[in-house]
Amino acid sequence: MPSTPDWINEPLAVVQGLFASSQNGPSSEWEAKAVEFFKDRLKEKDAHTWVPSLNDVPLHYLKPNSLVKFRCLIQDMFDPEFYMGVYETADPATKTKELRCGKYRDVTECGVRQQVDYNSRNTVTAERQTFYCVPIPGENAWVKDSYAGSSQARVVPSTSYAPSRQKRSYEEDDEGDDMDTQPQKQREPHSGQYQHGNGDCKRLETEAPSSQVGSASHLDLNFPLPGEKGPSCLVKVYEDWDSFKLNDTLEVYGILSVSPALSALADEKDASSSFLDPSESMETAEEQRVHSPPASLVPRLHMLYAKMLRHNNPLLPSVPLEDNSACKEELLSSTLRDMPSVRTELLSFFTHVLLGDALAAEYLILHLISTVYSRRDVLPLGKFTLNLSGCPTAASFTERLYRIIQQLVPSSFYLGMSLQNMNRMRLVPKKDYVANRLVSGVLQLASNTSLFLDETQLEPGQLDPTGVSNVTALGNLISWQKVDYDFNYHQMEFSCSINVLIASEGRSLLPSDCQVHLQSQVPPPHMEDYMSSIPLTAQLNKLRLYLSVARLLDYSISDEVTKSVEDDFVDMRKDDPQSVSADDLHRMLVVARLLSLSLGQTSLSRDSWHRAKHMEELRRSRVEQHKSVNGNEP
Amino acid sequence: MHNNSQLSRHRKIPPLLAERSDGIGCRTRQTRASSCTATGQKQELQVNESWSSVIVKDPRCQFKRAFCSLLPFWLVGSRYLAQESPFAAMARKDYAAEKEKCKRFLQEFYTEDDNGKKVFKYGAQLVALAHREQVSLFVELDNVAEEDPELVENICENAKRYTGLFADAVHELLPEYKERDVVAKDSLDVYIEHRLMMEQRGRDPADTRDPRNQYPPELMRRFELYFKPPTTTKPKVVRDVRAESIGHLVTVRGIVTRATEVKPMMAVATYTCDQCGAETYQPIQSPSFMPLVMCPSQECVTNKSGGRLYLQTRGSKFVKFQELRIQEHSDQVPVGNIPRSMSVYARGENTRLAQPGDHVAITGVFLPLLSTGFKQAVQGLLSETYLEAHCITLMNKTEDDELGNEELTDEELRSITDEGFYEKLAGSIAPEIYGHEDVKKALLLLLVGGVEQAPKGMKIRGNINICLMGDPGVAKSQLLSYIDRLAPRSQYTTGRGSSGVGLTAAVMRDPLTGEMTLEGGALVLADLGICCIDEFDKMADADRTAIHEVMEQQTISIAKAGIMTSLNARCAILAAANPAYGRYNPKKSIEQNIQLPAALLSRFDLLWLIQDKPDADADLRLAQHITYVHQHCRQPPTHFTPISMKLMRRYIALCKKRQPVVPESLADYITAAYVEMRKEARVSKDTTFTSARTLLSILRLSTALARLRMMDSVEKEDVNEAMRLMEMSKDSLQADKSSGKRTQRPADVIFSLVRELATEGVAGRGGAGGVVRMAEAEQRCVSRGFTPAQFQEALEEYEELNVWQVNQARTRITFV
Repeated sequence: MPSTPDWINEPLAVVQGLFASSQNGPSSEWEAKAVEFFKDRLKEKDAHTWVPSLNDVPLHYLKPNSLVKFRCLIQDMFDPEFYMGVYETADPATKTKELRCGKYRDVTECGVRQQVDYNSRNTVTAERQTFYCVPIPGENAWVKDSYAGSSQARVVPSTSYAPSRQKRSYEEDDEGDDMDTQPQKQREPHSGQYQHGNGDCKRLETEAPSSQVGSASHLDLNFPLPGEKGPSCLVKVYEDWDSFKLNDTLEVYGILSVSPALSALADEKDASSSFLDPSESMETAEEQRVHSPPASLVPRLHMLYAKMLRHNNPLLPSVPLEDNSACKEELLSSTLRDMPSVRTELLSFFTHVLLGDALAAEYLILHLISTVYSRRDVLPLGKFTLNLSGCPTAASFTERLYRIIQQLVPSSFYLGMSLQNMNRMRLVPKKDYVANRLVSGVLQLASNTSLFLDETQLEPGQLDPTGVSNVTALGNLISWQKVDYDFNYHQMEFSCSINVLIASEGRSLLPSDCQVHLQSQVPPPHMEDYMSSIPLTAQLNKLRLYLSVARLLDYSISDEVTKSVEDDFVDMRKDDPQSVSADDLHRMLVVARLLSLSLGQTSLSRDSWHRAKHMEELRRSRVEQHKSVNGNEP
Repeated sequence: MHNNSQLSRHRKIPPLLAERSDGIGCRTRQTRASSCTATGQKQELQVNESWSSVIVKDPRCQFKRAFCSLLPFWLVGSRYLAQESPFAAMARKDYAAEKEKCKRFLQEFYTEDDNGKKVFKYGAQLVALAHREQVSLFVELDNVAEEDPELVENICENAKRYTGLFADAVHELLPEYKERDVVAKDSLDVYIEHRLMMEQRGRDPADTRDPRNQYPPELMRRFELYFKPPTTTKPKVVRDVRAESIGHLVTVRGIVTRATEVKPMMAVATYTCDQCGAETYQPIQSPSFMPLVMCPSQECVTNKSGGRLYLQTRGSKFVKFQELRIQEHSDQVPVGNIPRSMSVYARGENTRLAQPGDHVAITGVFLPLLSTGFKQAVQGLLSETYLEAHCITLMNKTEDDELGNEELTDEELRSITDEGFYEKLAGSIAPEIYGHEDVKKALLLLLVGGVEQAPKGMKIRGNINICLMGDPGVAKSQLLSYIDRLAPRSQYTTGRGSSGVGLTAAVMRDPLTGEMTLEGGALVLADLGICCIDEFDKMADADRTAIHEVMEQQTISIAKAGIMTSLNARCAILAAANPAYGRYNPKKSIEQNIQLPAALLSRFDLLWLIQDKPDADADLRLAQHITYVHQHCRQPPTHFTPISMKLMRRYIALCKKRQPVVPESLADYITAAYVEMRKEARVSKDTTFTSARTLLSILRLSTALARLRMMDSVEKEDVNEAMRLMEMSKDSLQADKSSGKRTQRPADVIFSLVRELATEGVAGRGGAGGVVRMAEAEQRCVSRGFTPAQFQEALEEYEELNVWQVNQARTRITFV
């Protein structure tokens, strides 16, 4: 392996070099050139794997001012800041002046005995935007490990730490993982950490003195989900920041800045801030803490280049979708060919998991590959919220089910809808005007995150106002795929695409697109043994790949099929006008779409349509049987 | 921070000092003030005036005695630290000349009143300022533009500097405007007076300088000067205020999210020395300052006496200071972004104008706040920015909505008001929902609203209330949420989620002050707008009664916790309800189906039952619509392009300005139609209610229709259309019944109507038996919800059957 190139170790030198040469020459395009330079370098084969990632390398192993990458979600956007894009340093002794570039850095740099000339007429003020980024919420352990495993970054740890982890392939550590993935948040780091091999577990140990204590005591890193770990980052964006949206998932390549001066600054402010001072009252102590936290906890990342992530499945190449289409074609065609067979495998696996219920298994597959593919005005198309009713409460069925889903999808979250949770948890992000930040909530999730709502945990009791608004928020999320963020004086709609799966005993109190009543073929006593089998890693990887690819496929309906669908609908209405409505047609079209995609077909065939219709009929007849008597409900 | 702690430490005023005359040395110290660093803009700092040393002779003892009761210490000498002028322009301008311009403007600007008499707008204010009757002087840039447009441009680009220039100009002009002696209002006035007198007495006769120059100007001024922006400038959005606006006068709009307490901020710090008694002044422009410690006076320096300086609170000047934080409106935020915010510093008279939650437009100078000291060294690259407020105006949200601002262009008007605009406008409501043309028309009228009448204190509401009922899944909620988004002011709530208190008002105890406060519910918040209530039927009975008052009187009376008041709730109510048994049961009466009390139902102008009836044609169109959406991910092309929401809003706002009246000539027609309806209701044992309220509803609907046509008087067609809508809404409730018994073709109904008319004619007006006038017949049919085309069809059909004959001119129908 070649040694780490300079542009990774010393990116600022590259920038300064380009800047200096632009000062001599007439060209003023150096900024674009710098960005281009890094983009080109990263395009080279495997180049991006050499860049160490903040996600899996502890912060203190990373070299300050080196190029790093960070896979993250934009959690908050701060106000733009003004900085000196170009500044001048003067040496009082020699009276020489030098122009320097202030881009991509937080702290001015000047040589010995030099001083920054703040009143220089050559100073150029520029503007940049700060995003507060957190690691993708709910990212599952296998994703993290797999990304970490593919990294070839050569991080030189300072002490005796053996960097074997960086090279370890995925297979080595999966035995450890399978056992205890679910409560990974509470998992205690134990002695066998090398086998155990979870990135953030190790960080937990290595960083315990600094970050753990710090974050617990006074700094809330504002992760959407409780119990999350990992670094959060202040990403400074220099170009084109309007193209980024809240909750976008990105892979940011940028220059790491952890200058201790930044923390010293915060301390100084803290010490001097008196509550009576008018100037300090503008930035309250709290706001100060949020906007300039210690760099050791929240590093600054000066963005050179960012890649929007359409998915965070490490098994699927991340770049190809636009660049090398040949590679993509190849991958697609190979997976497409395999899809039906993988589907059968997955179906049998799910049937097994769902206690022998094949129909529920079919719907579960459809649910897992659904995504909001378009919005028609307010109505999101393609959402497919599944309500799995009739879940046995015994043998912690729901937890086991979630654990399996967790093994298959890149990011997921389990929300037990117990009264306590509903009354206490903050689901909807809220603007905190004192600290001037968006306080995150559970529903601030990246696109295509699986949200598992366990309604079997609900017991009779009283929902307080928070609880009511939480349930309303969940309802809105399901029916409109949007979350109304609370801005105190008003609410703002943020659309999202979250796969919600509701497990309940009876019909869920939340709305859903599709309700399937589980019919267990297994007597309750044997359930436990029945569910504890999990496929091997290689097989799991196949399933994971399958689910992600199916979601990304394009889909179309031909005019011919459209026609027959229309006729079908009219016929159905003729037969039974009471039970077939426009909503049913919507749902059937979604089911047909997902069914075709799950089979690797990119257009609707008449066959799939009939199959979808048949599935729907089966499902409906089953729901009819279990219909609770509730006059007011549709 | 420093100044306050300093204050408390040096509260003690030093004892009287030895009387000594002293020459005072001077020193220049530059305090970094807000200096302009716009993008690429060169920076230039200027030192205001070269320092002149001033020697102040010791005043005589008697003089001192005379004032010692007022003054805590002797004023022996004075000095102040030079302050660079904060602003520097790109090219060095002749600011003295500019100042003269300002002066001239203030002196000479006048407007002519009705009698042609000159009114010196600023002259009058200067007089008030001179007598301390007015504190703030607003220079309206519109006025300046009349005299010197170029000056306005300069002011807008370099506002901070020109504030100083204008203030200097005012300061120099004030003595000329002083007409009488002013009684000192506070101790600072006395100080200023004394300082001036002292200086005059102790002045070196050879020195011809203006005495006021010796003191920092800030210390001697008791007025504040602000600019009012030209009316031509458009308010900006917070996110559009960028680096290039630094130093400019900008106007931004937003909502106040935070306002600090108003605190005194030191503008000029005054110190006295404990050794020589000399006074030292330190003007403060930055948010923090380093207090002086050592006396810089000549004497202390030469004697090395180590005189310590003590801060004099009473001698210092403080200004009121408040810091606000504004955030952009939610509608100004691009999708998927977080609203931006901005800090605003308000001083003096601009404080206490806004509170959190207020919608404001703030004009001010956008300035960077350079950090000092260690922070500068570390974070030199960054600068915070703030807006130095000049003018804060409160605005309420409905006013500042974009729509009212610009008139519709002719082109836009034409695009709306062309052929079939009524259908087009109605069709543009929720275009994604298929069909329901009449419901959409009704909703359109709800948006426009009827004319409110208040003859002799009696108030008749103009708002139209509509209730949509229907089977689940017929897009009621979608219609509601569309209206909610379309209406400029609206509240959306569900019956299940809101209690009576949530709808009307609640008495809350303020957590901070413990006071009882009234907090408005959805109906109050929707005042002058639309309140959409989904799942109306799921509301508890007790809560529903709260709505009765709102729906007719348009007020909410509160008698809770000792608060008795009546709040305005002039809102139109759009309710959606599900039938009681899940689906509408045609075999039961409406009350049974809806389970809403009659008192409430009669308050709705229109009740629509949207039923999901199988109909092969409609089903096919529905299916096509849905499959198209799924196939192409967008709306199917329609025969018209829906009018954009924004245009709709503006058009509706325009319509609302009209106040059409019902002309005398139509009164008879409407009365007759009403009597007819009553009669019919009696005969057919109608399940809906035809009461006086129905008549009012017709009037409301017709005025709304007239508004929609942008006319000032109601015409017959409006009344006909209003009655047609009423009829259709009734039909929607009864359709099932009639279809159950027999299917009546429109032609048959028209026939029976005409025959009825014929017999009426015989009985009532003594017309020839069996002869009906065509116009009358047509009108009757149209008022029952038939189109003229249907009428003509029926006419021909029965003519062919030889049931009646129509004369040549087609004016009369004669029964055979």
